[in-house]
Amino acid sequence: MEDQIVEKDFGDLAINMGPQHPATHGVFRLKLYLQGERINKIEAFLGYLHRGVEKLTEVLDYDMIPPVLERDDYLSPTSNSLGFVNTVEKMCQIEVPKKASYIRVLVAELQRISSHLVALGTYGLDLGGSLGGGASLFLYCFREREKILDIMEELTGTRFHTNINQIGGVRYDVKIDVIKKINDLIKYIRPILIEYNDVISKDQIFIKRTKSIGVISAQLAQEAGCSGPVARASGINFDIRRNQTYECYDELDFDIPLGTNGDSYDRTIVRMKENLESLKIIEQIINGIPSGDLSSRKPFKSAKLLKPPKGSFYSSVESPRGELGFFIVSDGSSIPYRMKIRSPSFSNLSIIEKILPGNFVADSVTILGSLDPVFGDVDR
Amino acid sequence: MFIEFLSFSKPIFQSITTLILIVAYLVWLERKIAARMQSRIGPYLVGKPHGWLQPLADALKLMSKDDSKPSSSDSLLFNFGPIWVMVVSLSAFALLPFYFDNPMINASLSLMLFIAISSLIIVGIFVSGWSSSNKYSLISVMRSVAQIISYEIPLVISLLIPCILIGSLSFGDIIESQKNIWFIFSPGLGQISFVIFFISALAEGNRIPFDLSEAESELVSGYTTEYSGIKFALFYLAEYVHLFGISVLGSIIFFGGPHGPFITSNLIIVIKSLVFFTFIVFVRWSFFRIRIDQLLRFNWSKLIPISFVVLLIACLTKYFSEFN
Amino acid sequence: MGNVEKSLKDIGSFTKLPGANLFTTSTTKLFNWAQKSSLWPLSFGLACCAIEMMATFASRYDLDRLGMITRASPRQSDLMIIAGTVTIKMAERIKTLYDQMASPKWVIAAGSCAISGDHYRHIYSVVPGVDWVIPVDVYVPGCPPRPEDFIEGIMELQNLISNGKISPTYNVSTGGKNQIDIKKTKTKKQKNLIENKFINKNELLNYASQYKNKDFLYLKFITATDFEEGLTLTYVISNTKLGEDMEFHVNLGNSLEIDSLSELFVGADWQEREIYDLFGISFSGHPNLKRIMMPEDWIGHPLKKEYDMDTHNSPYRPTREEYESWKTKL
Repeated sequence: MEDQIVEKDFGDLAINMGPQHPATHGVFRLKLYLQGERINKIEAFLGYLHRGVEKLTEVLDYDMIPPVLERDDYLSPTSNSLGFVNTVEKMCQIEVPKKASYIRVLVAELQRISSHLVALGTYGLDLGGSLGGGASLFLYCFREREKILDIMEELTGTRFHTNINQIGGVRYDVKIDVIKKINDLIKYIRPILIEYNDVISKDQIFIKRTKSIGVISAQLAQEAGCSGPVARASGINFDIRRNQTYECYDELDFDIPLGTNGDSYDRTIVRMKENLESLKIIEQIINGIPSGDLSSRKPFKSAKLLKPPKGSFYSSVESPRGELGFFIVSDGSSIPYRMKIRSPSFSNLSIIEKILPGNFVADSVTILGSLDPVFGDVDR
Repeated sequence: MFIEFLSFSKPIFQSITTLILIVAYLVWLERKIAARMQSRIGPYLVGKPHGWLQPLADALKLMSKDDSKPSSSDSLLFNFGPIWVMVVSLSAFALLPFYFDNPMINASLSLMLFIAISSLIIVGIFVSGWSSSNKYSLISVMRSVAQIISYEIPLVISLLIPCILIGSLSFGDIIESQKNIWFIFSPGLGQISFVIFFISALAEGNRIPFDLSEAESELVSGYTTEYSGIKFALFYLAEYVHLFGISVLGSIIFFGGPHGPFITSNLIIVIKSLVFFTFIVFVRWSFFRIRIDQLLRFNWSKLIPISFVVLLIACLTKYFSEFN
Repeated sequence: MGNVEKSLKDIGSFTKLPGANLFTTSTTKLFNWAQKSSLWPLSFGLACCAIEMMATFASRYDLDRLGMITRASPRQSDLMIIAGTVTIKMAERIKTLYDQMASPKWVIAAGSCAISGDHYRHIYSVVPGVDWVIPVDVYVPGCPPRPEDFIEGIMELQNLISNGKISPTYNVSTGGKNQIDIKKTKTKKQKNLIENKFINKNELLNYASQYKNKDFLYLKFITATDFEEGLTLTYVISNTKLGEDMEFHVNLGNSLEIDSLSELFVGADWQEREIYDLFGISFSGHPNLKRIMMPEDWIGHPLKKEYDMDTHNSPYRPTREEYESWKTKL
């Protein structure tokens, strides 16, 4: 045995984050290649919640699909069914009563607030751990969210898989006492949302952890297909509600908050400001809800199945995470030939391999959290 | 021989039992305070008035759990880590005039000895993280070593300031000199050194905003990731023992120790340390965590220069008051 | 003393002696009580039910009252709540996590997906019920279960533990197995469905870059459809300033290869991987063409029409006969 000096290149330290990890917001796996605390390279693995919804819809009637889709993006189920129902209505040229359209928007905006509250709360967990200040923020956000869920329960009977949208209209009416309760909710929650916004945006540790971390330029955001708060934080003035309007959004007055830097801080603040805009929308709706029918067709009582004309159609709505679109190919039968869900979380998350390298391990958690992915929506 | 041993060890057993009881209920207290801060109730159903049996249940459960060990770990060091951490954090209490009127070991340099002993905890933490053969644990202990070694400097300096002004390193003299006025009320120096002490004590005790070695959202549970059952319980308890030690130290150095407004008793120390501990809990449940590079930069570029300046001022004050 | 006596009544018994009280208990009883009173769940969620689980831990329902705090490491946790759909890709990880937990350990299957797979039961990638992977102690039905249901399930588990159920056995419960049967239809293929804006496969790159220069920067999505005459790719790009969409299709015919757009659009990277995974189209020039949704060693491409939705190619996914015989056992 001769003495040999072997120079070892230790290379990068590879650690696996997930699929079970407190900060991956669900089942997601990141393989981080570390040099000290700095990330050199990452690999992302998904599909741990791939439930084959697109295959499943190929054997379901059009009227059976919305409840299944509501399980997809489980933080804002109504947006999912709204997007699908909208697409089918446009395909078949079904008119929706004005009242139904108002109720759909009302529920969707209520859920946008609750979804953004969950996003903020879980972001707190990312920043502070479940044994610390982050947990306090998380629990406060969930406390306010329960108030919204109470209204959902009053309105539809369930807490968040409301299943209120059906092709042609809505299932449930908004009664007078519910409107009164929503009025109380607005009075209660508006100062609270403003307060949270102030507390968060002025917290020094929060600013240090998120300012100029995970910057996405406007160009990159567009090419990667980012939408929603992620794209708007980068300064892209694009909102389906405004640019490619649907339902009754063209009659409503609201602003679209924009960020400038495209960092994690901006993404969080854009979400907080969107909450206030949603409150504005809800206020307008409950003051001006028209009278009329709830639905223009009765799908479950008539034996006639809905059969859209042959061809393909794409339309999208603005879910809390961004552009949620449905591409449906119909062969003229009562079930879709192919349905593609253009999920916002999938496109927003696809950017992570580009923006994580160069940051610290701790930043990987905050950047992932600021994209606010929902893995039912990513994997479908 | 045996009788001698018993009579020698009786106070040790007495004080350790008291200490562990206090610490077990500190955990309960923290959970209750956190729950109040988050508009919850906290432990309630285990032992009817407000879950008073909760610490007992937790301890018994952890004792009855399976003791698992990763097959690739170094078993000697893996077992040694938690024991070392617990023993060290308990033995630091021998120097504090906490349970008895006088500390069990009455040295003239007791403050220095206390700091020396309590900083040995990092050895146990490092050993356990290293031997777990888990990458999260490894990153955690690397952070922990960097953090504790760098925050030791401002901690020691902030404790030296009262010692310089008083002219002694023994707890007895420090307590004696605060008979009329607590050190926290001495103008200027008292407050600044307390702030430095508080920040570096949080960092030393691994508390939010500096709990980087546990960093749950990044490193799962840091160096305790692979520990289960009683070994985890030792870590859990040792963390609170250390924290309580810091609280007692803070209340002795800055808040006059046993000197209360009307009476002078060791019970006063316990009350003061509980208040101090509650304050640490408030801090914990209201802040986010900062990043490791920010933590170290804050220390080396702000905290240490400031503490050296304050130390210099303290020396000059002493010089002019004594020798002119 | 009366109060103390009351709260210790579950654990043992008090005997009044002159001058003192005697408290007697057996260790089994004591440890069962301890294990029941401090169930630390693993912080682990899969899908929708995890959101309700989080709501159960939050302020209004507050599981800390029962002495439950979440632990991130499986070594320190006693309870695993399977909240959501279990997929084949996740099943192995769940088994690993379960093995890593130190015994005594318990499992709650929450929600109809974890119990039986619910409406995803016949999907190729879903395990129909987590009890095909690990033994389950308590089933909490619901889609998703309400927080009250969660609390009831946990209290049920506490009852089991205090009755001395230390190590769970492989048992099959009857709870929550009501299910809707999805009709198994073979969809027919349709001729010439789409008639608009077809482009040639060779001019794809030119076409896309031409529109990209006209500010069509925002790649909405890429998808494929399996027609009788071959696969058709659909691209939608958008100009966010004008709010205009651009939809074009490429008919692949018999070939299964096309140029990748990942050079032009960053987002095409994952979109093309998804199509490769689910349709089997390979993209030349793609930097990292691997499966994204399904496990690496998966056979077949699920979204093709000839692929049977109810495929069994994993040990965690029972065959139809196994499933039927298991159902009759109930």
